[in-house]
Amino acid sequence: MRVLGIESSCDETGVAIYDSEQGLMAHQLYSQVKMHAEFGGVVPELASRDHIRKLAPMIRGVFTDAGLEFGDVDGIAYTAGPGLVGALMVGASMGRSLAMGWGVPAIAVHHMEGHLLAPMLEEQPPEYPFVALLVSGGHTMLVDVSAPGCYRILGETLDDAAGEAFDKTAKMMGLPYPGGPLLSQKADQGVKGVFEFPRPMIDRPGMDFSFSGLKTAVRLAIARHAVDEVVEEQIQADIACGFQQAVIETLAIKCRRALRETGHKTLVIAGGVSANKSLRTALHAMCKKERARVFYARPEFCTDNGAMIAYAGWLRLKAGQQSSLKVEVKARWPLDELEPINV
Amino acid sequence: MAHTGLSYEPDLCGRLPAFPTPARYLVMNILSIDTTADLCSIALDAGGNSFVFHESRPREHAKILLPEITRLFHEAGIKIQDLDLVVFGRGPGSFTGVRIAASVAQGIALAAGCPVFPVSTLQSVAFSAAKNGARSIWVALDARMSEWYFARYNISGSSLVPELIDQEQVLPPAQISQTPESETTFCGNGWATDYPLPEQLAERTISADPLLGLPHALHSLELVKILMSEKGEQAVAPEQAIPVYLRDKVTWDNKPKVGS
Repeated sequence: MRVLGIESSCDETGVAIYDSEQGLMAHQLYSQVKMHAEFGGVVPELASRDHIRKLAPMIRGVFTDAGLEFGDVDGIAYTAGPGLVGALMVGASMGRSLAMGWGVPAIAVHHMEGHLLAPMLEEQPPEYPFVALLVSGGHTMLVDVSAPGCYRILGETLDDAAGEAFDKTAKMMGLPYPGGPLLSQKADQGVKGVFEFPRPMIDRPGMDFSFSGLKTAVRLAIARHAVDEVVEEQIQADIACGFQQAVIETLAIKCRRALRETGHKTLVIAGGVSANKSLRTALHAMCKKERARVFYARPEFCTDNGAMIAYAGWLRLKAGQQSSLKVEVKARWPLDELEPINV
Repeated sequence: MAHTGLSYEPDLCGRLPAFPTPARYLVMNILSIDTTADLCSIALDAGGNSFVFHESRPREHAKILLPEITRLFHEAGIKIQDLDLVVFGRGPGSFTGVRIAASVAQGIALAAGCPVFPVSTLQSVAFSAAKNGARSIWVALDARMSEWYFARYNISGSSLVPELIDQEQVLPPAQISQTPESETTFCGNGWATDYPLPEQLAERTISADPLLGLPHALHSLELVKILMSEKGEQAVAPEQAIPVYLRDKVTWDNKPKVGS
């Protein structure tokens, strides 16, 4: 079975073709990040306007890349939420009407399920059951994945997402948008232990997260060391390092708690922040002690992409699920409301 | 894809093939959609008959558009692959509504292997008035935020095609400087708003026909057939069928706060 996947939930247009026999056949990604940079964040209306310009040429493009005749797929998967409603609407409407025209089934895919399943596209995919840590600019959550499509939320962020905390902290240091990855580079130049920031909520039971207090602590440290509103390079790097350590340690502690509570021996990390090298190293070390294994997607599939949507859609279509001609997109869509997938 | 209609894809250099001769339009299967405002308007021309769905269904376009299109195809007894052309209201209008129409038009045309004709919502409303005999037409569509999407048209000779004077604009009505002629017809739902008018309009009794308030997909379809046969206007490849918003300032720093 061959599925076309379409992703347009935020500021990235992604299109891919996944084939159950041949694996991923083609994928294209267009990031709008430069367009939004001058506004310091994603402008929803601009994002929607760009999706409609890019999507159709990219859909043609993946068929060419895959060496397939245009329309040679058995189903279409499109992201239906959570995300920016106007942006989602473009991919969902186009995907659904294409499927109608080609006379193939279509399936509305949950964006976070896509992320969570992205490591399945790797050569050595994880096996069920597992704990998934979803960390991106918009989400931070721990999920107990007992079987395909069976999700139980173990913990979520109460305020900022981890990636959002990275971006906002970077902004405080005057780094250009989106500053998260730049902040992480700066952190690599810093000395561990010079700045010790609080590890939010690790002393409390449960697996929820909160990063706004940490952000405030960093803001105060920057203010304390600023001379004429400028913080010396090395001090900046040390602060970045201290911040990153605090985030990573917090994530690692909660992941350990999740592994112990569920008894699972597999940890899957997904989402934009899962590409962070220091986070991967820390989680490897933690899992080694817990006799568990860590899985993640290749860096290009940590961010939003069409491949993960094609894969998640294929799983559901294969199980006989499909979406009606009514196109519905959702800004919010709890992951644990999804139907299980019978395999 | 197998389809009996017209094959229409750009060649390797991105050039589009020439469109068929006018006589061909009479037997073409054409789907037309407009979701740029509260109306969900769909028309299908097939085998010389017209099938129409035209209802006020605010905020439901995405949910009802494809089921209703399917129903019209069923009534007409044709398949999507039989389509020769897709027409859609390319704006100006509700941003999301314009994009729903554009996405669906592109999706269906890509699947059918046919071209798309993006039609102006302002010109479509003017055409509705021209069909009723209007010669000088001012169209104002409510753009919210105390502004109109506005354009003026003339009908000349025996053609029913509204010819644009100046350009399509988004503006507060008070900025309109032209004076209408005595026989000017006013249409579009903009005239039903209470936005401040300029002096030359405020002192005149304007009666806009409420039936000519918003674009009708069937009229858009008829307009496009004439534009292509009489004016030689060309349809485009689906990927080139993108919306026209007119309002391009979409980031506001001084947005009024709730409760202020």
